[in-house]
Amino acid sequence: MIKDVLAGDVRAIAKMISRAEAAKPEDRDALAEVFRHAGKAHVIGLTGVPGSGKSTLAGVLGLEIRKSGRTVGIVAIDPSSPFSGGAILGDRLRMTGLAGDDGVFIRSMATRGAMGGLARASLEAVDVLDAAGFDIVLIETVGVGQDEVDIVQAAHTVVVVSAPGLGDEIQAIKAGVLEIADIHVVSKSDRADAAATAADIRGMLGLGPTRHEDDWQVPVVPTSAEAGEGIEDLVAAMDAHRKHLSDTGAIEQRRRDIIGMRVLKTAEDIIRKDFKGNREQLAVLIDRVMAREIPPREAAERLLESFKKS
Amino acid sequence: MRQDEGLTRSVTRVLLVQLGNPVGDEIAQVVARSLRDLGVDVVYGGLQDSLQDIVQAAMQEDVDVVGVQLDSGNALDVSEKIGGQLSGIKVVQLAPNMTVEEAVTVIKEAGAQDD
Repeated sequence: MIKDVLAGDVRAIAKMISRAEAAKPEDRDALAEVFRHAGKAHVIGLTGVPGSGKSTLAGVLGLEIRKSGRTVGIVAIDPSSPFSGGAILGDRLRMTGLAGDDGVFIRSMATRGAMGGLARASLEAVDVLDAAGFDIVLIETVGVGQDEVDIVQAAHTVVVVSAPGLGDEIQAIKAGVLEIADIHVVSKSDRADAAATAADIRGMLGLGPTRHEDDWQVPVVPTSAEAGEGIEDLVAAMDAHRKHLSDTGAIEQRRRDIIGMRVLKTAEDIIRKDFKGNREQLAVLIDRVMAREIPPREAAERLLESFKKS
Repeated sequence: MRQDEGLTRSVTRVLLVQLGNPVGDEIAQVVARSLRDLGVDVVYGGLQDSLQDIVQAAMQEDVDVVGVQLDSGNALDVSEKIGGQLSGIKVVQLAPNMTVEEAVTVIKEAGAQDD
């Protein structure tokens, strides 16, 4: 199975991603083996508010990357319904023109209750595509609203997509989405108001703090998927950022950040799962908090104590 | 708490696509929403150019069931044509005159055979 994944076999890759999603104990060794073989791909996060054109952009980006002879994996994430647990994964619909090419692998994922714009197994899916030899892996996040920007600690290069006329400039400031970008894209640049949106972003970039202590100048790239404009520039900007990370050594810190986030997130998952398996104790504690005998924090600490003992 | 229950059981994955002339995807969209409300992950692929594109999408997405909506001009047996390439994946075709309920039932039954 691992051998087939490393050899780039489509079915094997797809099944391994499904195993990552299912998270069964018997698949841990296989996923650990995948992880050992990952770490070569350039991982790029694509984020932005809903309607900013992320999926369409991911599609044309895929085509442009293929022109340079490189292969690309795309992990496209959509939200699960909080009521049924099901999801409509519609990103594939907008990634036209990539079918029939073995150098492209698109996988849709549902968040299944995970917050932050990613699914729990998103980064394991990235590992699988990375280990399978895809040169670039694009993660397309759920349309982020406010304070949902896990992608910043999941990718080497973060691309924030804004569309003109959505009035999302202020939203972007609130969400902290502006600061996380290594590259800004203004999509639908064929529209008349696109230049104003790009100017707004450039103006705001000059004001606030950024995560770039080094000398990376965050570019603002106008793109039009429809007219096929700016896509080449965007790929060039992504390559330039990757080179910058290597040249300055910042890539090591990014990698550390990603691993650190994954370890913490996984710990959260394990704890949450364990607590759910212990509903009786939780119910007793909830009763006591309901009666205002103890505050929520004390109940949480008691839960954690019992977790440590188990 | 309903969401938590949704997380623990394995979600059936379905790929929903159309083949042939664009027939309007209103029905397919309602089918997708109905399946989602039953707890299914629905990969909505839209209009596909060829059977081979459907095979590729179904493989990459590792779905349990592929539902192919055909236009009225299409009389081919999709599952016969591509089923052989998709071991373990059920291929069902959704005729243009099917109601949403019928389409959902066909897909659900195909998914249930898997278990």
